[in-house]
Amino acid sequence: MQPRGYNVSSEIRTSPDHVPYEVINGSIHINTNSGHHVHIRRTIQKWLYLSTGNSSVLTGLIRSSSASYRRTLLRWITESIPAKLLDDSVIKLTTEIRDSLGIRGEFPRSIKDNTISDFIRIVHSHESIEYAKIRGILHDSSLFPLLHTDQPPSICDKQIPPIAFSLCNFTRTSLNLSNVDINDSPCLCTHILKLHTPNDLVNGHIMTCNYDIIPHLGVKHLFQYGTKFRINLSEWSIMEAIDLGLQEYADKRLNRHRKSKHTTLDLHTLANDLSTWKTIVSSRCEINLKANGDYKKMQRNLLSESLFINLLKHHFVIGHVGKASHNLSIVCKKYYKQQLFNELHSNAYDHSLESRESILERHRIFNHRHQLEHVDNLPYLYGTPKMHKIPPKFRFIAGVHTTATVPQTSGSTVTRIHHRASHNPTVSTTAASVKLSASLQTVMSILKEKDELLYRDKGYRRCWFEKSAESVFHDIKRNAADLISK
Amino acid sequence: MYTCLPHHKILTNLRIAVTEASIFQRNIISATASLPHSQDISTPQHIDDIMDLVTFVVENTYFDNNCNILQHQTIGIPMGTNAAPELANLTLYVDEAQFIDNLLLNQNEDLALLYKHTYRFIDDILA
Repeated sequence: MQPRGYNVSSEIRTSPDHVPYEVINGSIHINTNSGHHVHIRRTIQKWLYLSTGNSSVLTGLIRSSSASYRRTLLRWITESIPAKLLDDSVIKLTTEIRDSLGIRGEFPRSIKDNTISDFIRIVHSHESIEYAKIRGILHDSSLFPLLHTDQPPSICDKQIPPIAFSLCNFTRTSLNLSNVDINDSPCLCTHILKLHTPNDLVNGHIMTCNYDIIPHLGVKHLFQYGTKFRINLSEWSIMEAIDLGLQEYADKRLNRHRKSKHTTLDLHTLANDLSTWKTIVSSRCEINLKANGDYKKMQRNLLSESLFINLLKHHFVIGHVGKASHNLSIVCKKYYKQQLFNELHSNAYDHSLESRESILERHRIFNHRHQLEHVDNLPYLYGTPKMHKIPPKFRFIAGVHTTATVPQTSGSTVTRIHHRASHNPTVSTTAASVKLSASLQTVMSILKEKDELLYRDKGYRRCWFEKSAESVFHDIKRNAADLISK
Repeated sequence: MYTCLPHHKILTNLRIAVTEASIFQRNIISATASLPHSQDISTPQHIDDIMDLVTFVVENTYFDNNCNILQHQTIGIPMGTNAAPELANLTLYVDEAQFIDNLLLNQNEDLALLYKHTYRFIDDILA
């Protein structure tokens, strides 16, 4: 590790090749040999050279690089070259870089305070919120004095989860493989869904996305709507969501006002005005909702369907279909467990002799050594049916199940959704995998670049991979003349 | 395809691919361009760092499906791993590049030229 503190001055390597700079005829020359921070040293030397000539080219180069890279360069100069040795070109360069970085603390805080926090978060389903007409009410200029702003707050839509969230049970089934009892009793799957056809069976078990076999009409419609369908909320849920959003906005405004030192507005006055504003907006939304009864027609009575859904989930695994994830698949639970169990006990896997704790400890040490975030979690394997194959098969995928205990907010569904943190699926190897992915993408880009040179000079191509299907079609279109009749 | 690649092949081919890219960057790109730190793979240390990550990701896949015992994947990379597409692409890249190199070595230039419009998207090939 190389010390990087502001007050640390430690020569890591002292051979002539690794001295960071030299003073030749009173001018600083940066060492561009390979080694630590070679890319930084080379850039600085290049910019130092430019700083003695055309300043507009240098300014353009500096402004086109990222702010964090400019800060890195500035830091290297500060830490590596003593202030008493700084010559005119170094001073000019550092001034130019600092100038490009703007004024300290100028923008992040102002953006955060004045723009990003000015929104109202409202949980809703796809249609019913429209009947409250809250956007129109917020834009009523007569309410602006109560907000003490000249612009209405925006609305951040936080939609309720789609039905796949409540219907799918592949995670729970996959995480409960200990009870694999394939042959101990006859399978009931074909008796429960009696309307099945031979096409819906694989090895005598149901594995299908033909929803005509579902006898319950309401549940059948739910499956037909697809995984991304959202059920409309009830009237009182809409009002609850609006009230929660308005209250959160008012609280945020008051908190910000408390911390602000540049305001003449009394906190008590603002609190009263925001409370009045909240009451007016809420009551107008309620009036709009009651005036339009159409939303009631969209509501479903899930109570009548929940019993049949529970029965389905007891005997079947409901999940996404491979390559067509908007569709829900229905697979016999016994068959699913058997296939998953067989996969996990195939030649591709070994029983681990290590305990879970020992594996996670090894991963923790590795992540710590590479300064990566560590999470005490291991993945699980689940299957998605490949319904486009005949007969249908499974594609097995590594999934992440959050085992960490997330504090759950008590209260109604709307309240829990409103306060729920975003899902962050990570396991102990995720951070390393993400970092590796970025590094390998760089490798791929370099190999592509090398291949382009080879193709330009010799006409061969050694590099066949493409990052997207679009680039293939684009290239074929570009080379159409060369490809015709081949 | 991910699930069929032997681990030793992934590790061997990845080292070849990363080293090839590193040498090219050191000789051609670094001399003319300034690179952000995250894209600098020009030194042997960078190659070792990447290979360290490759070995860790490839050889440390354990599944916990609550079936009393953990399963260690010894063949292939599981689908769903962040780096899986890149690992698979580069593993196959080495074989493809060696195929063309061998054609050129055996003076089959005309045959090698026929592959200039070959495209591979993960495991689908258009030639």
